[in-house]
Amino acid sequence: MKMNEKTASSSTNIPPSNPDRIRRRTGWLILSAFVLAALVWSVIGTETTFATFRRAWPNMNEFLHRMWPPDFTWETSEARPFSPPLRLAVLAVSVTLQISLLGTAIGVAGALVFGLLAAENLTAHWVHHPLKVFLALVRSLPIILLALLFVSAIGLGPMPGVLAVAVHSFGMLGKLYAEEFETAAPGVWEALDGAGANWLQKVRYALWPQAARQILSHTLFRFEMNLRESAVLGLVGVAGLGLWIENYRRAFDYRSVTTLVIITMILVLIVDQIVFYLRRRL
Amino acid sequence: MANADYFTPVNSVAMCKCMIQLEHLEVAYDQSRFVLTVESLSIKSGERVAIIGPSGAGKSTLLRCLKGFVQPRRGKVDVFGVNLACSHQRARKAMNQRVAMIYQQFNLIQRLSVLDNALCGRLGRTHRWRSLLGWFTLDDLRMAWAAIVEVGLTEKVHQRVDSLSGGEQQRVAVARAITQEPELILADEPISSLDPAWAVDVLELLITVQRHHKATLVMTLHQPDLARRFADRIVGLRNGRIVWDGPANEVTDKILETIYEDERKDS
Repeated sequence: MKMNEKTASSSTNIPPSNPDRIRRRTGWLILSAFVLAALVWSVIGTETTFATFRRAWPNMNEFLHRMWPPDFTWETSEARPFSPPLRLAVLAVSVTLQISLLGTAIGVAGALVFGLLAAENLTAHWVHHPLKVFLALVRSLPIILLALLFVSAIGLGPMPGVLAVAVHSFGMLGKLYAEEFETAAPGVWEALDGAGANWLQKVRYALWPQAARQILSHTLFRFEMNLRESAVLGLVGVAGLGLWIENYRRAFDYRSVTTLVIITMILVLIVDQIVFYLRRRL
Repeated sequence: MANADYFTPVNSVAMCKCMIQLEHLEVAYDQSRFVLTVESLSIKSGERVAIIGPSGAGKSTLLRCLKGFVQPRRGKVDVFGVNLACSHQRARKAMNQRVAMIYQQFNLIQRLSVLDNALCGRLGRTHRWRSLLGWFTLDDLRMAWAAIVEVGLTEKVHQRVDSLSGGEQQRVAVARAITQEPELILADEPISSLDPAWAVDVLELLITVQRHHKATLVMTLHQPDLARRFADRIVGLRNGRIVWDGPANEVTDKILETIYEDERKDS
């Protein structure tokens, strides 16, 4: 380390002051103040206080009692408007899984193409720049909002869910894929270029081996998120677990709601564990 | 014969059987400063040339010009009679297969095997859709195997490249160059990231390959003694200009001093 004359000649035993360090500390202080102010503002706006909670407590207590115990009956009876939840669960779980699988797959297909075109190192700036903005616009729409729009356009059923999941996954994965392609070491690309490989060959051999692991990891994580999302899409009329939770809730059959909530939790946990295992193995 | 001459294009390359011909070459990365200024340099087919000089003298730039990776501001870069300085993109692409390059950092696909990396040299000659699926022809496989035998990595043919040592990785890079069936091999600091034992090993391999395939070899080197030992012609660069060009055995310590003069003054 080189010291300049000023610091070397000073007789005090503390390091010389650094304007950068002071600026950084002031920055942190200002940021903390802002965050604190924002939190106070939110508490006032949402009335999230212990008083509100205490007022709601009797109601919550009663509601929780009506939800318990979960309904695990299998036999249908004339008295109930719907079949028992366990009977429906098989179909509901299948549809939810199918929506997330197909939606993710379609999203991945689009994201691979657009990810390549949106990578800074692969295309001209007038190609990748607008595409990045486009992908940001696409993923700015939440899945539930997309589903609402698709249900209005297509009608009730599982398909609007598939499209909603596909469009949102496309916007998000497209960006992540592009970033993975951008981080690939440029040397291999140049070497294969020098060996006479064409663009697609360079993508296949210079980029793909370097990016594949991360791309698969992102994709699996997205699938897991899509599964959670498609479970709640029933709220806007997409078939699956969420739709039946909503139906039972409207019929005040809270015990059946609990059954389906438990089934949703088990499904999500299982997929969560499988995805965790697969991503670690990558 | 007179008739044949009539149809041959009259250019200097055809006349002196030169593989590489540089004339009035000027390379600049920004407006003010020239990185490389070469009045004239010609390299004949089958020659073994080492470019030496201090860091920043323009050795790599010169080499990358020959590959078409760097476009000169002015002048002519003639390789196999194609002027890389002004040729159409497609013409330059066609050159790619005939000129193989070895890099300081190997530039291999780390997660793929030795065999796959060797096969990459064939990409320019394989059918597009086949190669995307990784279906190489038997001829490609034969050629890759021959190259791997030549560099002595038969035992590790299916090992992933990132499990190999630096010297072995550079051998894989040589194998990839061989499968390209090049007429010209460019080696950009091929041994700078290797320890001395491997360095000599890799240089010996390069020379063997060059002789065996009757290719021309142009390499940049940091060690003048290795350049004298392995090249038959040495080009000395200093500050982007050629200060020495002659047979390797005529390079004396005095000449080396002129080439490396600046570096010594700086340090």
